[in-house]
Formats: sequence, C-alpha cells, structure tokens
Amino acid sequence: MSDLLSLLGLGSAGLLAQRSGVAVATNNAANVNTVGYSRQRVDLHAEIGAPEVGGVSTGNPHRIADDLLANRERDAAGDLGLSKAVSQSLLDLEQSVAGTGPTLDQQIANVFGRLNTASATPLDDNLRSAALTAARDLVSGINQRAAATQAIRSEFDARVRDAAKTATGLAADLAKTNDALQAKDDPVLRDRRDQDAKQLAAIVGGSARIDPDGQMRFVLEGGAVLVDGTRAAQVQATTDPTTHFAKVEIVDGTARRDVTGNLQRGEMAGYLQARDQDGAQAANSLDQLASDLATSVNAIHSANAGTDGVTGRNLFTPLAGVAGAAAALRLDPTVAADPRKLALAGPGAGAGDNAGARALVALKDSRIAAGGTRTLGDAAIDLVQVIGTGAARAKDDSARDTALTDSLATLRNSVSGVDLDEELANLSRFQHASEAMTKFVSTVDSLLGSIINGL
Amino acid sequence: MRITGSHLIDLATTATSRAQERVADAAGVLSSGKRVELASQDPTAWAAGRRAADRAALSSARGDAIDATRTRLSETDRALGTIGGIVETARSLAIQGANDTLDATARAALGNQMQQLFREALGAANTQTSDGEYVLAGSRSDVAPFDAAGAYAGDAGVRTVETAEGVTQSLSVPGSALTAAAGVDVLPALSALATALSTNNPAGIQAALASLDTAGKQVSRARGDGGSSLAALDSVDQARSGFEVQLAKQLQAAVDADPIAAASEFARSSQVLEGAQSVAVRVISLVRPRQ
Repeated sequence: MSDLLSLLGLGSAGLLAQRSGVAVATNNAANVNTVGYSRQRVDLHAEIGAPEVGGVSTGNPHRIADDLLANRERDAAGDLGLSKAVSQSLLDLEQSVAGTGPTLDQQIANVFGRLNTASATPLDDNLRSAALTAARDLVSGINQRAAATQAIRSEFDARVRDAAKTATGLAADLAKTNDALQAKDDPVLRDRRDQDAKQLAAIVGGSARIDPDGQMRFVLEGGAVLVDGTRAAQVQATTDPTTHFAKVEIVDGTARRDVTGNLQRGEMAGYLQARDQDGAQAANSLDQLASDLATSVNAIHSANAGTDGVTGRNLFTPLAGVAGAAAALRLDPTVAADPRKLALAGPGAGAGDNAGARALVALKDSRIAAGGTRTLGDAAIDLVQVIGTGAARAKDDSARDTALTDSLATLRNSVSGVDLDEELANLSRFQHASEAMTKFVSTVDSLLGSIINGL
Repeated sequence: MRITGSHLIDLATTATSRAQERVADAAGVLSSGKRVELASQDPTAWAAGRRAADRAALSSARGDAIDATRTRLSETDRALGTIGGIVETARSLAIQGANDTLDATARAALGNQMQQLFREALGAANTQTSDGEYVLAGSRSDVAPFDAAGAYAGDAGVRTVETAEGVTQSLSVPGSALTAAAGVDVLPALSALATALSTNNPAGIQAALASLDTAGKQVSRARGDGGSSLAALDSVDQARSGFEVQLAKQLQAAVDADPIAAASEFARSSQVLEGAQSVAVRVISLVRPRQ
C-alpha cells in the first residue's frame, strides 16, 4: 500500500510538471507579439529511484536568450540611433538651407545677370530697379536661410533635450529592474532590462555589461557611468551660457560630468553632430558667403559712381564681421531707395558709362569666396552640396545599420522568438502527458480504493 | 536556423513596406520627370544641374543685354544713315553752289535748304532711345551731345558689354567719330556750308566741300563700325541660343529622369510590390494557427 501511495505522489508530481509545461507554452503563445520577449522553456528532470519512488520534477521556467547577441544588438542600436538621427537631421538642415523658393546660387546669378543687362543701357531706370530688386531678393534669401539655419539648430537642440529626458527615464527604469532582479530572478524582468538597455543605447550609445552579481552596468563612451546596479545617474541637458545650446551632463548626486564631446553613438550624438558640426558649418559658410559678397561688391561699388557721378557709396550696409553676417546683411538704404545711385558708371565718367557695372558683373567669375578659392555662385552651391553629401552618406549609413539590426533581429528571433506552431506542438505534448498522468492517478486511486474497500 | 512564424510575418511585412517605398519613389520620379530634386538625392548631379541652370540664367540675361544693345545700335545706324545722307546731299548742294553761274539769291536759297538739312542732321546726331539715352554721346549719354552749332559735348566712351561667357564686346559708336578727332567736325562742316551759301562765299563753299568729302568717309566708317557691331551681335546671339540648348541638355542629363528608365523602374517596382504582397499573404496563411 505504501508503494501505491508513492505512485500516487509520483503521478501527482508528473501531473504538476506537465501542467507547468502547458502553462509555459501558453505563456509563450500569449507573448508571441510582445516586443523583446524571449521564449521560455521548462525542463523536466527524471527523479532518481524509479520505478518505486522516481517520477519527474521541474524547476522554474528559464528564458532562451543569448547575452552576447543582446550585446551586439545594443551596439547596433547605438549605431543605428546615430545614423538615423544624422540622416533625418541633415535632410531637415538641407531643406532649411536650400529653402523653398529660388536657390541662393540662382539668386546670385540673377543679380549678376540683371547687372549685365543694365550694363547695356545703364540709364534705363527699369533695368536699374530690376538689378536692385534682384539684390534685395538675394539679401532676403540669405537672411531667411540664416534664420532657418538657426531655427533648425534650435530644433536639434530641443531633440537633444528631449533625448536627455528619455535617457534619464530609461536609466532609472534599468536601475529599478536591476533592483527587482536582485529580489527575484524573473525572465520577464531580464527581457525588460535588455529592452531598456537597448533603447538607452539607441539614445546615448555606450555599452552595457552584466557583472557576476547579475547586475547590469551601463557606461557611456568616455567612461561616464550611467547605471551601476540599482543606482542610476541622470542625463541632464543644461544650457551653455556661451552657445545658448544644451550641453549634456551626467549628474550623479552632486557630481556632474560634461559628456557632450564624448558621445559617439546613439541618436543624441546624431543631434549633437547635426547641431554643432553640420549646422554650425552651414551657418558659418552662410556667414562667410554673406561677408564675401558684401565686402567684394562694396569694394567695387564704392569705387564707381551713380548717374550723379558720386562715388563712395556701398551697395550693402558694411558688416561688423563674418560672424552673424548672413543675418545682418542689408541693402544700403540710400542706394535701395534710388536706383540711380546704383554705381554702374566708372569714376569720373559720364552717367551712361558702364565700367562700374562691368566690374560688378566680373565679380561672378572671380574667386572671392571661401578664402579666395571659390566664386560666389560656387560657394552657394557648395553650401547645399556639402549638406546633401552628408545627408546621402548618412542615409547609406542608416540603411547599412538597419540591415545589420534586421540581421541581428533575425538571429535573436531564431534563438528567442516564439513560434506558434512549436508552442502548439508543445502544448499538445504536455496536454497529452497531462491527460495520461490524470488517467494514471485515477487508476492508482482506483487501486487504492479497491484495496481499502477490501480490507 | 530556426525561423519562427512571427519572424516570417515580420520579414514579409518589411519586404512589402520596402517595395511600397520603392514604388512611391519610382512614381514620384515618373510623375515629376525629375530624378534629382534635392542635393541629397545625388549631390554631384544636383551641383552640375545648378551650375548649368545658373549659366543658362546668365546667358538669358546676356540675351536681354544683346537685345537692348541691338536696339541702341539700330538707332545709331539710323541716325548715322540720316547724317550720311545729309552729307551726300550737302556735297551736291556745295557743288551746285560752287558753280560760278549762280548768283547770290540762288546761293541764299541753297543756304536756306542747307540750314534745314543741318537742323535735320543735328536732330539725328542727338537721337535718343526710348529710355531717353542719347546714342551718339559716348558715356555722357544723359545730355544732348551736340549743341546748336553742332559742337560735340560728349566723349569718346565706347560701351562694352559681356555678350558670352568670358567675351566682352565694344558695342557703341561715340559721337566723337563725327568730330575732328576722327577727321573733321561733321556737323560744323554742314553748318559752315550753309553759312557760305547764305553769305554767297564761293571760297567758303569750296572749303566746305573739301571737309564734306572727309565727313562722308567719316560717317561711312562710323556706320560701318556700328554695322560690324550689329553683325557681331547677331552672330554671338545665335551662338548664345545654341549654348543655351547645350546647357538645357546638361541640366536635363544631370537632374531629369530618363522617361523610359523611369517607366521601367516603376513597372519593375510594381512587380516587386505585387510579389511581396503575394508572399506576405501566403506567409500569413501559412503561419496562421490551424483550427
């Protein structure tokens, strides 16, 4: 009778084990669409001492995941975050600098074209007005692009600030998950931690490792520790009083560390690159173009004369310097108000002379921009082409990083992904075993009943 | 490699999405006719297109300058033609007036006729364009170049205009061509003849006749210069038209879509999309749990 009772215990343990298998298969199937979920498996272990006291036992379900692969996914997320942010930002920058109307090079060509036409009949007020209108349009185009470039750099700055907030939240979540894992090693918590770390890497780059105590440590490029076990630092975007843009600091208690120049990967690095490198370069190039234009044109214009024979007038209001030139560029109000003051005549020549106009027109072919290496038109084309080249490269980088991420996702899915067919087969297997165990317990119970009733 | 059903669906969805992007791109190119609209689409081609477009814009502006110059040269030619005709007539009158058989009254009548011709010549020499510019004034073209006596108040300034890339041409005839600097003072010579005729001065008539011979050659030379300029202008304008056609081709090659290639790409991408959609439907039906 004692043997039968052991068999009943064996049957009961078997029933529990198979039901555990059913539960895990059902849980896997339920999470088939859960992002970051790793399928779980329950392992059955035969007990020693069969057939009298053997049977089956099961431990906690464990997740099927590859930590090395998770590391590679985090790295790839950082690269993809960077290339996507750069790609999108440069497209935005390109649209801001290119503008929606005529391009800058087109406006420059229009100014020189109108001046050349006016040079044929310098006393024609309509043609003088047309040349002035073209110059006014060019000034307006440069002013608008300066404003648009500043606005898009501010937008990149806002993206940096938003990313800092998101990163702080994710770091805090990651530390909390580390804490929860200390209390209970739950596969779902591990999935969540991997997912948080991947999202964090997509934003700030960096790398994560799991220490022997099972705690994850997240370190940024340059060595700043963002998450150390249950402790999370904050990613703060504080306004730099010099640039008025945000600098990125890692704040841990009272300790602050500026990591703005250290971030190499992740979308935050992409926005910083767009703001501080590409955006700044575009703004500087625009300023240089405006300064070169004003300086060279004024030099010619002031040396020549209007129809009144007066020399010494500038076409553009003189600029204080290169910095901020694009925003400050203006037509000289005296000339702007009176087309006859446009200096198309040579000094001392008659009103119908066009030496001044010819000298101005000749500027279009002179290498007076970009340190004397480019014409004004070429410099305007270069301004957009450089951004376009960067955007095209970033798009290629993004496509490459997307392909790598997709490939890693495929690998991860092959290891950790839930397959409904597989889970249904497991469910069926455990269900049949469970039914068999139920039948077995029922039979033993019946035998026990017969014995007890026969006593 | 273990491939899960959900991953198969992801792959099919991604493939369909990319195929849709490709169709959208191809449709955009086909409908707009533009392969490159932004620098980021093809930086080199975009820049080449911009340079071609800018050169075309400058060339078109040169066309406007050429038109304005042609008008001015035509006005100049007309004025010189008028003056040349008057000089010829004046020579005839001078020969007629130099005839010993003519008495003072007859010479006075010729003198009156000559005065009238002088005024006509003066008017022609002070011809203005529609914008009020005096065509024979050199660079001082905002004031009448010849005074009532026919003395020249303009200068020898010749207007130079850029007519093609790297090409500038002198495209005006200054009134100084009608002054002693180029031979004789043409208008004063006409005036002198009128005076000689009116005052019955045969010696003066003879002197004027000699001057008019030179004046006739001067006017012809000036007119020839203007005509050469006009011919050169026509030639350069014709070359400009051809140049702009070349630039249009360069622009087209850089940024425009090849219609056949665009249509082929659209057809290909549509087929790819249809294939991706079929695969997606098949994959979804394959991995759907059976009843």
